[in-house]
Amino acid sequence: MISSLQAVFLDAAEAAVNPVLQRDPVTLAALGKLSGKVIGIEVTGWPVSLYILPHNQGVQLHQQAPCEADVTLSGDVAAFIKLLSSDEKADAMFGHGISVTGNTALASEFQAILKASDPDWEGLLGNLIGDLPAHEVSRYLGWKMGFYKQTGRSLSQNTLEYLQEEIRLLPPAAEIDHYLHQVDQIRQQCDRLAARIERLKR
Amino acid sequence: MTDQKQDQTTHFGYEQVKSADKADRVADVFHSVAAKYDIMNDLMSGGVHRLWKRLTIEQSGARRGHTILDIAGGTGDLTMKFSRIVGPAGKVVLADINDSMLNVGRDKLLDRGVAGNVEFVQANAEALPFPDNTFDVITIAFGLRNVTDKDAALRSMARVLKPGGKLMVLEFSKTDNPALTKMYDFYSFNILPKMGQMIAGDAESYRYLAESIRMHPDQETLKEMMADAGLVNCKYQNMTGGIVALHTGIKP
Repeated sequence: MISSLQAVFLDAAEAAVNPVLQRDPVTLAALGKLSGKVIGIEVTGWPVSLYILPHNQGVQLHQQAPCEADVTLSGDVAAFIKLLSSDEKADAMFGHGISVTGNTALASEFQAILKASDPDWEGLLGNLIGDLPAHEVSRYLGWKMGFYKQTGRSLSQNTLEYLQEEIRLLPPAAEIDHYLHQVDQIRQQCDRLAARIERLKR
Repeated sequence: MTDQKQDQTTHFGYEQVKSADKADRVADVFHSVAAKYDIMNDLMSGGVHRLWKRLTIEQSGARRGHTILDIAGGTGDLTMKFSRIVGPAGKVVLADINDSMLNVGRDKLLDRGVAGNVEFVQANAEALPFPDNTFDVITIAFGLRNVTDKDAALRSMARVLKPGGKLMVLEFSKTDNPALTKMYDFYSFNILPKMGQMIAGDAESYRYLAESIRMHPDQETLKEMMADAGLVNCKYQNMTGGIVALHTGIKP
């Protein structure tokens, strides 16, 4: 039996996801084409399953399956987190901890819809605080995001250079590659030598 | 209608009215609140009514292809979700005695693209216009307390249920915690009518809603009434400390 907490979770998840999806007509139309399908999610170690019913206004979430799911994705929490956070969702879904049973084409289609979704965040924010402030906020956030990305990239590059070139705490990548190559060569030479000795013994 | 029935009285909130007049009085209340019904529900319950309805749907056992009756379905919250669960092979009937509520519900569902497997019927719960053994699941959410003859309504619902079908009554009930009861009473009789006045411009209708909740049978009484109507395995689940209870019964 569903608990109140699970009901809160399902309702909150629907309330969070659907307004975002509703700002993206292309995604909605694609989800509408999947209406009538049931996508099951089974997380290893969790006693309950989640069922997603796509429709032309977003998704409806249930704990009880209305029928046998058309496709079921099962895996552990880490695999699902990876799936949600990964840019390459197809790589994260297939062969990396998530098993797909049932209509795999439907799974790919659903994943492709989510990947292609491009919600109008600015419009969503505009409904709350007005169009002009929303535009300014989104411009500011866009600029900030760009700034942080650029800063992050240059910070990691400078740190690496400092560790490798200035204080020589870490070897540069080329040196490691060269070293590993040499180790491989020595291993191969040893193997050949061992084979030769083995042949001379006989 | 016989003279005897015309002389019988029933409660309309705390007021005693002729049984024959109650339906009209209730209709007036809902004509008045229909347009702002959804927003008022959210404000009055702090959005918790969505959870009560969610719990009802998850426990309904509704499946693909089922036929479901949502009595007093009002603005169609349950119907919308059931429609997506039963799919194109199933059917959901949204029934309400009040045409204003039915119109609001129909417009809302059509605006959201819910169509094809939903029918709208203006019907009195006491005399449902459906053949025997029609529905797999029947829900009546926050509607039973407004019905004049609740026993007749329960019998009528049991009649149109398929054998093995489930009746679910989601309704305000009695809290068992004295502190919560006190807070709830204060809220219902002091804050609720004021909110009704501010949002919907109608304090009286919301005062009626609060009074009708107090006049509604408690959990055990309603459970017995369902058993008397011929249902078995009748049970109830309190929600939010008993402010709301979900009664279920199965037609044998």
